[in-house]
Amino acid sequence: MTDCSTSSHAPSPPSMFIPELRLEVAAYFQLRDLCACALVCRAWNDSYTPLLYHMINDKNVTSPGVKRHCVHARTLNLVVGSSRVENLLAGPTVGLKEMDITDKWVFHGLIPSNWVILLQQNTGLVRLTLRMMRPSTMDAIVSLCPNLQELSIHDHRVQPSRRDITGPDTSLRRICLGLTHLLLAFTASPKSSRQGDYEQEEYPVKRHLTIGALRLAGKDQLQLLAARTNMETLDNDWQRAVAGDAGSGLDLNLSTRLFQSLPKLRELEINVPLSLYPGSLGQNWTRGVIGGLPLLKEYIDPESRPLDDTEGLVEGPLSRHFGTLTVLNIRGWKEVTSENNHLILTSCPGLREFSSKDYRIGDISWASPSAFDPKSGPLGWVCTLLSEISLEFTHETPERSRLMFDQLCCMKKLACVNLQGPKSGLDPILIQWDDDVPARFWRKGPSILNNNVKATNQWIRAIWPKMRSFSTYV
Amino acid sequence: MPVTLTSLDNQEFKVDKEVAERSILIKNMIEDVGESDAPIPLPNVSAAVLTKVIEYCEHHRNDPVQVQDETDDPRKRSNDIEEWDMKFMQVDQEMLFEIILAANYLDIKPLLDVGCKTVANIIKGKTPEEIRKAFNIVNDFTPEEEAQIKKENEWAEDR
Repeated sequence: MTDCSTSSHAPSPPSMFIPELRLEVAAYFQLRDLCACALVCRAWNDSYTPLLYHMINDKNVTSPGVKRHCVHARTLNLVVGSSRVENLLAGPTVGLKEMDITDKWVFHGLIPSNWVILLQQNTGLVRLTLRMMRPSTMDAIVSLCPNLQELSIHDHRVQPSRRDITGPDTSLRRICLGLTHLLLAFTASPKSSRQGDYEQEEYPVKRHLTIGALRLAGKDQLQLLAARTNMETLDNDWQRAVAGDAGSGLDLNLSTRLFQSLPKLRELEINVPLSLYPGSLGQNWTRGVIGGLPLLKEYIDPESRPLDDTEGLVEGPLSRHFGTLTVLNIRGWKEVTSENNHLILTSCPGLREFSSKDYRIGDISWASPSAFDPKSGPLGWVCTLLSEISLEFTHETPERSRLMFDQLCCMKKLACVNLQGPKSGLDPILIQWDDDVPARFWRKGPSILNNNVKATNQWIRAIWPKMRSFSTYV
Repeated sequence: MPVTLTSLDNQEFKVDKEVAERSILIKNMIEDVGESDAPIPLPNVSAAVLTKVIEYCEHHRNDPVQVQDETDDPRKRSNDIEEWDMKFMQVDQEMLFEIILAANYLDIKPLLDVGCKTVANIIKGKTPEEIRKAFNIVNDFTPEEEAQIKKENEWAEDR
């Protein structure tokens, strides 16, 4: 678009609707808008029809347009059995980057020849998701994808087959060497919809491993992955792990061993109660995400004694797992009491960044000024070390937010504060410093007065001398 | 600290550096050149358009820097235009396109976004004929071509 020199003497407005702009605008369209635009004129058709076929799925794979336009496809998302792929083979080679195949155990190990051709034509495939598929079928498919980087396997129910997908001779095991992302989600329980949460997340690190919930057959598979391979085939470079899904059961012994066997793991996201972990999770964590404790009720066998959501934290200090954390993010944690907050923060003496979503000060002494007293309060000596704090208030009244705010004032080392939430009752402010000079100042409102910057700057710096970034949003 | 910008038709505009630097192009130019009183030539932008662009940058001079959207959703929303921006964009179509092209050239992402949203909102929900009318476009399909495209893309019509 940059190269297109247009000026006021352009002949008529339509000529300014250049192809680059058409594509830019398309980001805001739904399929029906693309469809209408394709019918406007030839030039528009050239811009918009390809976009309709970027993703081939069950809706359009059999449409008459696919043969001609599948060359534009980048993603294929199909349910085997109900979808036919012949149309994709009729035209020029497809340049697929991504495939999501739901098999529902239709394929019996051997995959049909048209799928083989399709995969052979698309060696540029980097991201593959396989759902409800026999291990032998997975082998067959994965062996045809030499450039794969990200692999996700979803099971959705206990597989009758006992074959080990990670055994010594399987292609999955070989291909793990080249992967940067591996997600294993063997779920026994259909209600486990939270698995979707992980799929949508994008992780900043180069390598991560997600291990979903395991039961029965899935348990064996992880056992083999953990014990037999000792992860050496995964080249031991995984830096981030996600353990979780309280909804359908995670084998904690196995995942504990797994975490311990990967020396480079530094980040852990955990969505099951720590109390259930039998041993230490290793001592190398520098970043942690803890969430999903309220889900515990789903996890517990109804026959057994109901567990207090936070029992484990009271029983065993968090430091057994997380003594080395410097960054901690807690989310979805509604039931935490002041005592447990104490335990969390006092278990992590090296903590420098703390963030929490769905945070409740609640009824608790956690918000009492004495808790933050650096001399007498248990939170004080930890919190006074925090340099970064981010809190999202979802259940707060303005009064409580103010109270929280007062507590923040005791944390003298804070350099970055981010407070948000619909009920925080705080004025939206953003202020950032550059060499001790306010470099960016923004305040929602009709006008910005210079003395506002100065006054706000002075006020904040008087409380927190090291502040670099302070923001509150509604 | 004012900066002088020169439009296509050689008109000079004095604006605060902070305002001019809403344009990443100008910001980079200033950084490259260093302190200088020399006017910055903008040979792709007419005075009329530059006036509008400066008006936008003045109003948004204190906005926080846009953070890249973390969600990977390729579908963006077009119904979240601020009231002031909405009024600002109430110009004739030629000017609208000029502003978008200028925003692209000058690398002012928020203005480009608002412009594209405005155009998207004009198009959304319209039939092909209504779109042609809105942008003064001539239908150059043969009836056969039109029928074929319609048939091929039918699956997407009501999605």
